[in-house]
Amino acid sequence: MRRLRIGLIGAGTIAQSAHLPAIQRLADELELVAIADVRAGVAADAARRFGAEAWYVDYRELIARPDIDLVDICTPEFLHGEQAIAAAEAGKHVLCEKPMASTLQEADAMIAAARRNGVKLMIGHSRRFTRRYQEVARLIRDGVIGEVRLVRENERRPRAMYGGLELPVSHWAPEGERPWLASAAYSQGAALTNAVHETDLARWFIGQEAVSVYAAARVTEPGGEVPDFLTYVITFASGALAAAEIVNQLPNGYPYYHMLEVVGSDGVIRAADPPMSPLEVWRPDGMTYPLNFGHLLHVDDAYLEELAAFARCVREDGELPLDPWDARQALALSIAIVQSSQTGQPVTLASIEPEGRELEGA
Amino acid sequence: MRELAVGLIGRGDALESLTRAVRYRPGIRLADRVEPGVPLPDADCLVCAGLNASERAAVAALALAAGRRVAIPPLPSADDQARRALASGSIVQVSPLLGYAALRELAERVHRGELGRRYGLFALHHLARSAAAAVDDALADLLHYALEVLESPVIGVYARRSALFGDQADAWHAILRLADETLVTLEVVACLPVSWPEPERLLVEATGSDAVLRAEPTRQVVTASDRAGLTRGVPWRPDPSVGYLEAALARLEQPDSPSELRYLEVLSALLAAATEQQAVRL
Ligand SMILES: NC(=O)c1ccc[n+]([C@@H]2O[C@H](COP(=O)([O-])OP(=O)(O)OC[C@H]3O[C@@H](n4cnc5c(N)ncnc54)[C@H](O)[C@@H]3O)[C@@H](O)[C@H]2O)c1
Repeated sequence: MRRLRIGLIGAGTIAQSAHLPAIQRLADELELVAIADVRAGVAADAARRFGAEAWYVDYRELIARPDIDLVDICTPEFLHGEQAIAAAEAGKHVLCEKPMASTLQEADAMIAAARRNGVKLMIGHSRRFTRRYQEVARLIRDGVIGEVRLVRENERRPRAMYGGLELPVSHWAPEGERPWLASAAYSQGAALTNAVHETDLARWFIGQEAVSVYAAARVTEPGGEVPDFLTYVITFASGALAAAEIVNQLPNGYPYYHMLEVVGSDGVIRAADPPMSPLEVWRPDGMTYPLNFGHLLHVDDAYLEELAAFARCVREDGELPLDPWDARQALALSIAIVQSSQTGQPVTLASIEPEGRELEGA
Repeated sequence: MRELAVGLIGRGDALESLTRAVRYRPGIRLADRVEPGVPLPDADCLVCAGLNASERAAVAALALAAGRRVAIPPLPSADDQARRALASGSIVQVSPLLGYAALRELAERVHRGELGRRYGLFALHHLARSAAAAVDDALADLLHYALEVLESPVIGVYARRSALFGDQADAWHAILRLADETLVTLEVVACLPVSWPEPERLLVEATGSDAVLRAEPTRQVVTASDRAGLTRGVPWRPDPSVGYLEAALARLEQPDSPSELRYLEVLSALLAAATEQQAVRL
């Protein structure tokens, strides 16, 4: 079997903590050829540590290489549209991190570019490849809880989110001090950073499109620019609801925590981190759950499964494990959340559709 | 000093456990106890438990007309009569949630400033599927408790009252924006299947820069799984009537009608938001 040759763009936190280790483990199927990152030191270091033969500062040099089959995009979302479209135009299959893009126009253009060029495009909604969520989806599909009527997933994170992991890289900080994730020029905050996971899970579990969203958001960090706290209710076509409260700036030491509850016409499914934590440590200064963060990223092998599934689909020219339309609709919900939290009123999904969009994917 | 004569209004288990609580509380004595719908018992003050929405309102009306002092669970409707009753100061509302030590402790810690900068309060109450008729009351209880914990004016609300499982409303989802920027999320759903190990489920999480306080008072159940694979739960928590009685007596001693009226204002905004499917400013 010929190995697929892969190039990675954006060798930051998620790339180094999840994607590159997964590519390494998939050495029988994938060959890491090149890495591109605007931070030359980061690109060079990642190339050395993960065994890529080349590194670039300009991602266009990477996608210009004829020997690359597949590009893995791990840059901030405001770059996803431009980079994914450029890669597709160069005939590369594209795996791109969530959220799909910053706007629906970009997301639609990405789907169109992939179609036009006959390449596969998948968005890395990693929770779709996480065992716990797959189990929940399977139980729902098997009809164990009947028709899903309510999905709630609350998410809580300590301020030092990656505190438990030793990473050689920090988030990209384009203007010096402030990382892009905390800058209003580059990020729309928790609605896209976190909630796009929850909106995707809600659509997946409820199995239909949403109609409207109400959300309230705020900045809790003094001097912060983007919302880091979010609470919302989404109403689906059948009247089913999805809700989440997301809190990103909790005291350090607080466990990385998801509380999923799915209520169906015939039963309830619950999956929450602290009660499921495989390891608890007590010390005089308190209790910690050291494996929680890594648990989500690695124990369930989500990123490995994600990459492997995409590679299989490319190699066999098979069906995509996750249609980009699903990612596009999860993004639509996140954008509706942003708008509702800004206007203070419910927002319908219909009202945020770009004008003149062809409804081909729907 | 003469013992305070307390009259009780309620029914079923709630009345039984409240009676026990009064009996073992020094400094007070049980004057009389009645079911709702009959004339108010003769006593220095009255405490109600286990009443549904219309009973709560009826007791408040009777007490107002008779000029009696009465502690009732929060009123789930915000009409003129309720307003007059609360403005009079003789009728006080006590959330039954204050019966739970964990929720009283959480409230006290928030009042002491343990959260640092406050972020939000998330409060969820899941009832048995068969208890759909009680979701309005449960929302009133949860809302009253949340406002008591946070003590900051509410400036905007959004709410949905839905029928998730049938024709009858069985769920409330509400989001409140407070003047100090705290965001409150309330969820009440009558959704627990018969097989669920807990008879009801309460979860309150207060988040802030310095602490997270999480209370799950109804998690105190003994669970048993049988041969057929069915798991059932037997609650072993301390009787919440004791804490509820204490809160009621304290509130009767020191009524705070401005905050009672503020509760009513927020409730009426929530009801309006749910009807109009719009967010409402206060
Ligand atoms: N699936 C998940 O659960 C998950 C988790 C974390 C992050 N993410 C997503 O991954 C993406 C990256 O997040 P991160 O936390 O790794 O950010 P990061 O800042 O740590 O990494 C981004 C990298 O992109 C590089 N970069 C910036 N501009 C570039 C350009 N023009 N060309 C090439 N490289 C460029 C930066 O130097 C940096 O190394 C985001 O979209 C984020 O939402 C997903």
